[in-house]
Amino acid sequence: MTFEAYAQGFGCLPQATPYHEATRVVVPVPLDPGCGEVPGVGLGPLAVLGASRFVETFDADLGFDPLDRGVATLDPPELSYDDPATPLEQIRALAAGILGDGKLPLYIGGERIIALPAARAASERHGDIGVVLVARRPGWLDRDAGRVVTPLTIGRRLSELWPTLVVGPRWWNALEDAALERVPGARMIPAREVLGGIGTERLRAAGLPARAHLSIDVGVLDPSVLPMPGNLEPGGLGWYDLVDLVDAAFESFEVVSCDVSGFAPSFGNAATSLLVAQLVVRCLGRAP
Amino acid sequence: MSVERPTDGWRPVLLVAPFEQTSSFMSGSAEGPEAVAEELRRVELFDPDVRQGFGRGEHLETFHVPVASRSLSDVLRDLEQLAGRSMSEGRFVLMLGGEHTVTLGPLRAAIARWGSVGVVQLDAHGDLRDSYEGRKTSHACAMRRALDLGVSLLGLGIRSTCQEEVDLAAWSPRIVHRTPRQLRDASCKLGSALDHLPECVYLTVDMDVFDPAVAPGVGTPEAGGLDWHQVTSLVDEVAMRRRIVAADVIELAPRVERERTVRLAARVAVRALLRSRDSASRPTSARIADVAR
Repeated sequence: MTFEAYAQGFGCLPQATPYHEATRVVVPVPLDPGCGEVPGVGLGPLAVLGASRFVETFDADLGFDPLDRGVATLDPPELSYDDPATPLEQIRALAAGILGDGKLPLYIGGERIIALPAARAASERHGDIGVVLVARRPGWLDRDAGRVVTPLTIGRRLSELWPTLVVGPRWWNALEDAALERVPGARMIPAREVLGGIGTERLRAAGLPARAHLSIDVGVLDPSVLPMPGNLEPGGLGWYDLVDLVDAAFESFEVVSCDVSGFAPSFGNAATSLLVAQLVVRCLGRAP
Repeated sequence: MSVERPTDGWRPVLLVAPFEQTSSFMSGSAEGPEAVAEELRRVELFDPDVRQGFGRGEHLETFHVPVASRSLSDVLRDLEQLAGRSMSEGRFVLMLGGEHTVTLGPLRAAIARWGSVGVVQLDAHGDLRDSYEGRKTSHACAMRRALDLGVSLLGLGIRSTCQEEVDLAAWSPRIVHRTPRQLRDASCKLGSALDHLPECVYLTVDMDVFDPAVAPGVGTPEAGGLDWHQVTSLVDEVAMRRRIVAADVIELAPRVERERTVRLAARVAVRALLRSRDSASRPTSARIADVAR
């Protein structure tokens, strides 16, 4: 089934589009450098692609099937972990190629630091961009056990390079809280303020450029909605909170690339992989 | 008795009371306290909603209460003595249970220390039966026995009661209950529900107040419970309007979805501690002014 998934593309559907005809490209990126809090994120893309064949892809809200609009799926890249920078550069180069072809990439992670090379490629292509980082933890630290790019530093790294809005975090420690004051231009809307839906005004008020990379760490969902290894902290978003947020992000900005990351499959609970696949469909439908 | 408001050197004491004798549905509440105490040693005691925590130097002093092969009355006596001694030293007592009957130990100590004490009970069940399965000290009777001590009671999240409990709550001016639906309709604001409680309150959080989707690892799960934000906003309001003099987090039976239910209980314990510290530091007049604002 897994091979079939890759062979046929996201959704395993007959309408899978050849790359040269596609406007949107799904890129499974099993990035797992072992620096995060969620064990098994490298297995996420495979599980989501496998589950995608069982997802009803017609979007009733939009009135069409996003997969009818030209979606290609790439093979997952073979990443090298010789040093921490190498896989990130590999992802950036891959992303640059897709963006250079005038297509919108949607990455399925993988560790959520994928946002950094993805945003870098988007910035190289489109110039002035912002980043909307939907995440369970903001990542304001400067270093995490000596490492520069981890989920605990990603908010800071992104903020140093582009105007970044972190949306939905519900847990961080005292060090991160103190670091918040030292991150230039740090913008954050915590989970509590997203519950029940967030409007476009709130996102636009952050003052980001018109174009943006949208990064979605699925751990932003509450463990009762998305039980998975490492997603333990209470107080996360509900499903409709997240899809409303995704809709608002696509409405507020011209999203030029997107990642759905931080997912580790729960063996014995196929619903979690299906949920992430549904989220990918949602993003594909909203993509310009 | 006058209410003291010392906060300098506010130091909590953790009582670990894994007592379980009368569980009636799923057993395992004896495993909860040690699991949560261990989690509190492991996780960072910082709550971003409050933007406060406990620094590295402020370890939680922990007492493990022996319960093996001991009667409930012996365990309650130990808990009362330990809690009473800690309270007399100006310490704040947070207990991790165990079945709900253990609440009676530190509650007795709190009454001895502060005189008039109300109970704020977050729970799926009324626990107001006079007896259950032939016992007057069943977990299903814990709040009835608390009433025997003369306290007034506010039950929040109560959604599973028998006729006897409903009748008692309707008849007694000392009992106010709010169901999850009532709380949701009121945006989790307590309004006049706190009015019958004295200034000092004992906070008891039965983990089954949460919806089973949020806290699967409890002994008697009940559908239609509260979520994290609802529970913590209730705790926040109680602490703003009353002084929490002691608290417990009980009835965790972490045999299902252990990791996240234990983490949830640990986070509840931290929030209860932080808000109790706040409530101790704020004079009554300021608290009333806060509410008025």
